[in-house]
Amino acid sequence: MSEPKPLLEIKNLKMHFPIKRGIMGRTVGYVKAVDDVSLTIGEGEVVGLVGESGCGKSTVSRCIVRAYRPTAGQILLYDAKGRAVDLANIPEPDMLPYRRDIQMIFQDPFSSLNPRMTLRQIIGEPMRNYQICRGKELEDRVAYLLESVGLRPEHMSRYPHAFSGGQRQRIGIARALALNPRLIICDEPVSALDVSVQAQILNLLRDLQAEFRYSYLFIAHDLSVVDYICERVAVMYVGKIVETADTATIFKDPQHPYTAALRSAIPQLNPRLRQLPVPLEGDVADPANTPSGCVFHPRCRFAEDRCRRETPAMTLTAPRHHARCHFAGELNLSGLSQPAAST
Amino acid sequence: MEPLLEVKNLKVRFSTDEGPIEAVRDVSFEIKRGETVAIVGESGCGKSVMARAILRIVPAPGNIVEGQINYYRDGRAIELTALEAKGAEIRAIRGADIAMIFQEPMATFSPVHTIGNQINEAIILHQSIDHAGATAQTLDILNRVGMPRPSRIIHRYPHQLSGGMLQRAMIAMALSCRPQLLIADEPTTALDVTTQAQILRLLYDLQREFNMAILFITHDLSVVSQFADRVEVMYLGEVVESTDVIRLFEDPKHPYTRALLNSIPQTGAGRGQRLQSIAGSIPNPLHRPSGCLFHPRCDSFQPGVCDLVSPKEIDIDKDHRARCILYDEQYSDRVSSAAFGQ
Repeated sequence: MSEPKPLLEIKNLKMHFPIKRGIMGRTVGYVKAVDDVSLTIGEGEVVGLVGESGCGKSTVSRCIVRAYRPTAGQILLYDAKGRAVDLANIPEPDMLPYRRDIQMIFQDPFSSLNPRMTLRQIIGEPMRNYQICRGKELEDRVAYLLESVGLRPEHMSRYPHAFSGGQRQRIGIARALALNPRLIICDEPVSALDVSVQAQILNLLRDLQAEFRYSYLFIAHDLSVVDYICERVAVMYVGKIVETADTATIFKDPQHPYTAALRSAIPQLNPRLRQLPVPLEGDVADPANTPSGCVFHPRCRFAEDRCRRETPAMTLTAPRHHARCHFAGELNLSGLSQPAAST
Repeated sequence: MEPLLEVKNLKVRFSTDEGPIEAVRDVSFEIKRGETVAIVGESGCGKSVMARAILRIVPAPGNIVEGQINYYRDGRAIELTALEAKGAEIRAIRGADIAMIFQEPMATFSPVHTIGNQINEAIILHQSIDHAGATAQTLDILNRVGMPRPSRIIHRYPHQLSGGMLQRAMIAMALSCRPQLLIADEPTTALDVTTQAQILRLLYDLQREFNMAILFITHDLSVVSQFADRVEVMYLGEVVESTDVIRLFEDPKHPYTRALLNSIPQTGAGRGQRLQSIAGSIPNPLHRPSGCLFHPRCDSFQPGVCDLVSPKEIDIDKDHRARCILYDEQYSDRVSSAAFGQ
């Protein structure tokens, strides 16, 4: 697969939140929510960011839209001519023209829509803010957007409470599309939905991507959902990306023990392949008090002395495949990632 | 195997200002000793209300209006729906014979008491034992659920433990009186996948150790496939299909079960293919569709039959029932053969 032109390049991003104690508000430490994350999203590419709760995946997305001001690092957004602007370091007011290029779809379709606004107002607001259109033209555009996400334009005057969870998620998607963005950040867009509705929304997101060539940063904890929609996947653990590869590769041939464990933790949809494996003991490390060396070593069954002392670097193990492990490429993870014989 | 719990034609109704909602209507099934029965369904299908009806903790304004729940103890049936909901008899069963674990461990424990005191309380309530004896039992049960350093954990408050640890503590509390039946209401839904794997394994091992039956309530079919012996699929308050786990996954009969199984993304399988989705969304329980509840979303919909007739439960095979007119001989001439092909 050829490298697409980069659209967004995250370089060594750090987001450390201070822990304050006492009446003087003395800083006693930092929660390293995102620690040295680098990730590139190509033009028209769908990149998945997976990890368990608290791994920092949502913090990355909030840094991209500058809901947080990153502690360090760069977030380069390229325009059509290949010129870059660093979103991590420009002053807040200068963000405005770039905000329309990056839109978000949120997890909870109930809290992400204002209950006092009609669909016309919700979906029209971004276009009014940027003075793109008004009046009849705005109305036509809202109708078109509603149709493209599978809702009826006649429902424009209704309020969100009249819609089901899946329909509300469609409204959120229409709002994200309103400004014709280049990058859409989908933060767990289907995890709050019923199983029978999830498939509709995933199909819709895929159809829209195929038609308009949006780039997606798709954040999820569910590997099977990521497998369905993403071309490339980055796996995060305690603030760090531990592995990136093409989707097919990461499931077939993971190089980091954490990826392999995550993969085998998904229950198989086959009652004859019963195993109930326990791929990982213990809990996710505390990002305020990270272990020495490799952050994963206390839970890793392959850990050696070196893992406790040295922090591993991201190493290239195959074309387009990086892993942050001292022993990347050397471990036999097949027993972990493939379902074993049934019991 | 002898039955442990028998639910017969259970109907639970909520009287609301907008009208009555039948959260559970005409549900029958049984659980045998040591068996795992899964109740699977999406939000609003009545699975949690059903579970609460067994323990007689249906929240107001809900009421059991019809049906029986027989719990068998020492060869004698106790009719749970006939007991006083706040009476001594059901309270002696609740937490001792039948225990329950919930989805949100954070919301189950009181935030102002230590873990140790809360488990002790459950033990003292059901056994004639002093405080020191109860603490010894608490330490023992915490050990069995794989809690690291139980002697320190008993002095901790819920907010000091992680989600996985709290779920272990809740399982310990539920098992402290050696229940015959454990009702697990979405016990792993709030957890990460790796923690979910730990908790499922733990439940599996403890079930064998304690020889208890588990009623597992979930929306996640992949967990069902790994965990259950029998499955009851619910939709809008009715059981639409009921069979053993192998047949459910290999030979599903009801169109809803089939569609649900096809709509789940799976790793590795069919990358790049569209998912088969189910049209529409779950109806509002106040406005139930006429006839078969699933007909507006069903791809085997037979006009003139499905929208008029409420389907009966049909015995398709031994221990395999489905609530669908496709299998009802009475309508065999009205059903086009195309409806079966999927």
